Amino acid sequence: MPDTDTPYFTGQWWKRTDVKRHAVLWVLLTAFIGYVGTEVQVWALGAPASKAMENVIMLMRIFTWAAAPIAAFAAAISIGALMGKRHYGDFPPPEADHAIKNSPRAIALWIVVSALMCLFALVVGMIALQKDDQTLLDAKAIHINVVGQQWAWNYDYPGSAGVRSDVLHLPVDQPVVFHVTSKDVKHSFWIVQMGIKIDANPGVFTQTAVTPNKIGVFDIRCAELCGLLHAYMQNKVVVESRDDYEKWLASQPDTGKTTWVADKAVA
Amino acid sequence: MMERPAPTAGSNPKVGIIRHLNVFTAFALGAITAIIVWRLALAYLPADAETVPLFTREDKITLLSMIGWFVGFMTGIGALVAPFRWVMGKDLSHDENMFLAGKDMGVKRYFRYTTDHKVVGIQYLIITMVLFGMGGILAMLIRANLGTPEGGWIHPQAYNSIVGTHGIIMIVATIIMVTGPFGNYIMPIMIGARDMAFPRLNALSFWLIVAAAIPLIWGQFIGGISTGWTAYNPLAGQAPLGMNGYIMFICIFALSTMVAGANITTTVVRMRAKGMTWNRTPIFIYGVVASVALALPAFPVFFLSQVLSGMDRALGTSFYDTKRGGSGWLYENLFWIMGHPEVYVILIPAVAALMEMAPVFTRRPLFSFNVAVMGIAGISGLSVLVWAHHMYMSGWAPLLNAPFMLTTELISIPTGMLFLVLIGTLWRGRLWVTVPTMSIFALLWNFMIGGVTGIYLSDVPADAFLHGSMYVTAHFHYTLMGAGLTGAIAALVYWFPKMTGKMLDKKLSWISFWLVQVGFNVAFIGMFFVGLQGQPRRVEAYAALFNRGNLITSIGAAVIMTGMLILLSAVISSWRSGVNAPMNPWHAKSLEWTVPNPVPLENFETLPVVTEDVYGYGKKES
Amino acid sequence: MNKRLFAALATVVLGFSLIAGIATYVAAAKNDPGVLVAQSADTYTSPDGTVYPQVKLSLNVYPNSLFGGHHGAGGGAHPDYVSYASGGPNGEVLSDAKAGTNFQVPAHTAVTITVYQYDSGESITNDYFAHVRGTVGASATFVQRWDTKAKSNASSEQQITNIPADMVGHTFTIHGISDKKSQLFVSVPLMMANDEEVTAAEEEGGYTQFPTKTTFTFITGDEGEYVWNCEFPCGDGTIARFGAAMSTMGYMSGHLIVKG
Repeated sequence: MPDTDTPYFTGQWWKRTDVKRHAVLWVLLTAFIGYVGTEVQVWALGAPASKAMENVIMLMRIFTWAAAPIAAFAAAISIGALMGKRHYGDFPPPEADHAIKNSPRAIALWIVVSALMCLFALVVGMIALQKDDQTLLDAKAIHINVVGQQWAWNYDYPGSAGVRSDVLHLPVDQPVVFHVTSKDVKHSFWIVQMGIKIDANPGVFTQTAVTPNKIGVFDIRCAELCGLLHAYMQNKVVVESRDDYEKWLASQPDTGKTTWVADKAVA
Repeated sequence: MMERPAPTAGSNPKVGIIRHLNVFTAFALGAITAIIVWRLALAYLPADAETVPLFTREDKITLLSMIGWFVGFMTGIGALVAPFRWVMGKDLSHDENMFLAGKDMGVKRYFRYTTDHKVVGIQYLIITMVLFGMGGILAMLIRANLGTPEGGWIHPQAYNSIVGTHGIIMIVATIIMVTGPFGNYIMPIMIGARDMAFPRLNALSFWLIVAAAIPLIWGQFIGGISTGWTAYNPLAGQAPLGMNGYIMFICIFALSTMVAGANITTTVVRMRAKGMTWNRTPIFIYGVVASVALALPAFPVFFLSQVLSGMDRALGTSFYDTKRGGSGWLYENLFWIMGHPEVYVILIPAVAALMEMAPVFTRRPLFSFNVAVMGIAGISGLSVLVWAHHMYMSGWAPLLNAPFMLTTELISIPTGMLFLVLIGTLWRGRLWVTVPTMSIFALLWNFMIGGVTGIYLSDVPADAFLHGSMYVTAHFHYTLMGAGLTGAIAALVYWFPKMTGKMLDKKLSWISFWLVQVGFNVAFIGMFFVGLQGQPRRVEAYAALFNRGNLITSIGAAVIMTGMLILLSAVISSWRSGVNAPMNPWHAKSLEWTVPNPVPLENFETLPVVTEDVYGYGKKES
Repeated sequence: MNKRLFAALATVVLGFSLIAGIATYVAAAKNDPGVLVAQSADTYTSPDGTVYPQVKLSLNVYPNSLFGGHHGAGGGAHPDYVSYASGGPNGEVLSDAKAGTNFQVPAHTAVTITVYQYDSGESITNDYFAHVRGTVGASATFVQRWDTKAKSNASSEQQITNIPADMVGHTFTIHGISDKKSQLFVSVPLMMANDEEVTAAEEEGGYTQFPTKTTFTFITGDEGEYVWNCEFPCGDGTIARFGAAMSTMGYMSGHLIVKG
């Protein structure tokens, strides 16, 4: 049987009724999927408290809109197939009108588009990753040690007179590098509204960095199952003005030595 | 090659010990051996020294008795008879081989070490259903806990064990759900063979799974597991004795997978019918082979990771203990080197099964068979290069985040090819609406959501938010359950007439299909939502703001369970008293539909000769 | 057709019943079903002058579950595990305590807890937890030797903000989920009792006559459910010593319910 070369694309194929119908569906569905997909997800994410989180939200928007035409294409073809004549019953319908097995043009187009999408996603991701990495290298950053233990976090402030706390305090608009470790098993240090996360591993220090840009109280949650009370390994982070932060640091009792002295962050 | 046996009067006189071995002797011998080893170990193993870093005596006792169970069970089922004979310079007699093949055995052959691939296929179907049942019950417990406001009525120890056990049972169930029943029953007939290349290994691969399941269940009663299904060390080193059950489960299951992989690959490569060139081999076969070929290198690594974990616990080694020179990152790497290919082991056969069904239910050829093959090959090849995207946030190698981001995003290209094949087959087809047909649409819907959310997760900065949250859980349920399970259920409905000789009840399978699909989407959209709001994974209690999303997910889960129970009921009642199925109810063109129901012991009277591929639907251009 | 539909419905009902049954079994399998409700006491005036209603709780920490606690005769499933449990009003050992690790206190109240610590100790792993945190004044009242027979202090009472990091027996650390409710974090180190006395008493089938006594007060916020656990791991022979007893509910971990 003929392995016909691109019979779909013969003549003025774009004027065919079924093609036109699918094209309309495709445009409408792209708009719908892009809009609903983006808005619902962004709504759930909530208000960002750092540039890194703003990046996350922007990435969700970009990727959702970029994926929308592809999803809409699959949806349009599916809906078109379902809207056609459907056969029920115990016996098959007559054979389809075309025995077409191939369309090199469609395949080539599909592969090229998916490769371009892939490249696009990669480039966008690399740009955002690069921005996050720069905070790690910022010379003006303050350094804070985070120690995870089954099942509580505690924080040390190396620049201070040995202040240690269970609730993290940060000055707004100040880059901060976290040096995170664990005393026992693996934990994961996640400042939810700031969109940063790094695992706490026993015996090593790992780093992440962020610049909070909003004053308020936000959540820190452990994001790696660490045993019995993992669900309760959570506390708060208070972002306040520079003055309030200094006042808070000074008001803490001199509660003992810091566990580790700040070092150059690893890129 | 198969000679007809000389007729003998009365029953087979030349069948020896294998006549007496069955699942009951296996359980009995396994239990007895476990108890004996346990008592001996308890009495004679030395106590731990006071100053050791890890107390290991109890783990030694537990592991030894579980190994005792394993050896006893495999001896009791008859797996060692043939190897023993071979060592003695003999082999099984012809009569014994026919006995093992289940000739004239009736229902009893399902309870023995039967080598007929059709029997093994049915056995796999049953064990898959049992595993899904157990995993499903655990899922309902999880959702019952999380569905109450702020969760928390199941106490944390039990909950963590339930979550981890649910995960590992479902992973194993989804790995075997297509290649087990259909890879064994249908595949040899589909390629025009009389059985598989190694029939005894086939029986072995099945009974290994039964042997494996018991230690996992046993482990639940000696403390359970405190890790998720990923069994991360060092937490696994700290876990109660039940962790040994997990370790044994995986080690034995890995053996089963490797055996099955060797068997299936050899069968397909060497035993296709005359004239069945690779161009004429159905796409389902490619899917099954790709899946087991991926498992062959991946599962030994899983096996190794668990052996090291068991050694740390029972022998006090320090592979994963940072305080003594080990590293938790070693475990993560070993685990995910298996863990990522494994999800494609789960997914590819399900998608390939739907690609096999698509032409039948659109009455037109598969769109671009070559692209389908390339897509499967591309996914399989790339899947071994992406594993560290599970470790973006582990701090292991920040410099490697970008390269792994590249390889992970590249996988979307061959995956897209599979989409193209399905969409292309739908285009201008004549839709014959059945449950398998609608499953194609369900797959497209679910896999699109699963795939796109995978793109978000593959992006390192976005993953800094999403990793370890319920978003990840929702993503992999969409791909493994929304795409994988949908394909497996469609395969069940499609091949049920051939495997059982009955048609699966139509009304009930429709009701089940819609309940499962609608319930599934409700449940996991709710889960995406709470993930975005900031709920971590594997938590038994949560902040009040997650109440609504969790309630929605739990309601969806109850709907899924209802649908699956209805499917179970349909399978049982149709099998017992359903409408008899014609030889080829779907008027399909592949070879399994050319054999009568019930399928004869040796499948074909004469082996077929293939002259064209199986996608010759549609009106030919004249 | 109808018979099959009926069978399907029956399967659904049976399936859900099975799940409900298993759920009931799982819910009941706790190590400590009882909840100790704190008792009302006189009002409390904090250093800044605010007056709060007050409730009091009294707890004991035993080196094993054999002779005291809520795990039943013989110590239950793990007689060698350290046990926090409710004790008598003066720290008496109760061998049949009805509750041990779950406590209920009202919201916006001053909660005063007295802990009689009968176990020995050693150097704590994270000296963060050797300090008193989250209590009123970030301090606690401490008596190194409390005489259980005479029901009086056998050494002087002092106000402490921390204890030596190498003499820690256990800690009492309250923490919880981060959400709209108040963040509650209270951590008090509990000093060890005399090592030789503890060992000698155990050989005679009991506990030392001279536990340490630590009293502290904290103010609860809104209603909510929190957890507490000991942050000084002593699960010998497990990774980071946080396995075994440390990872089993009802021994060194439990719930703190703020309600009413």
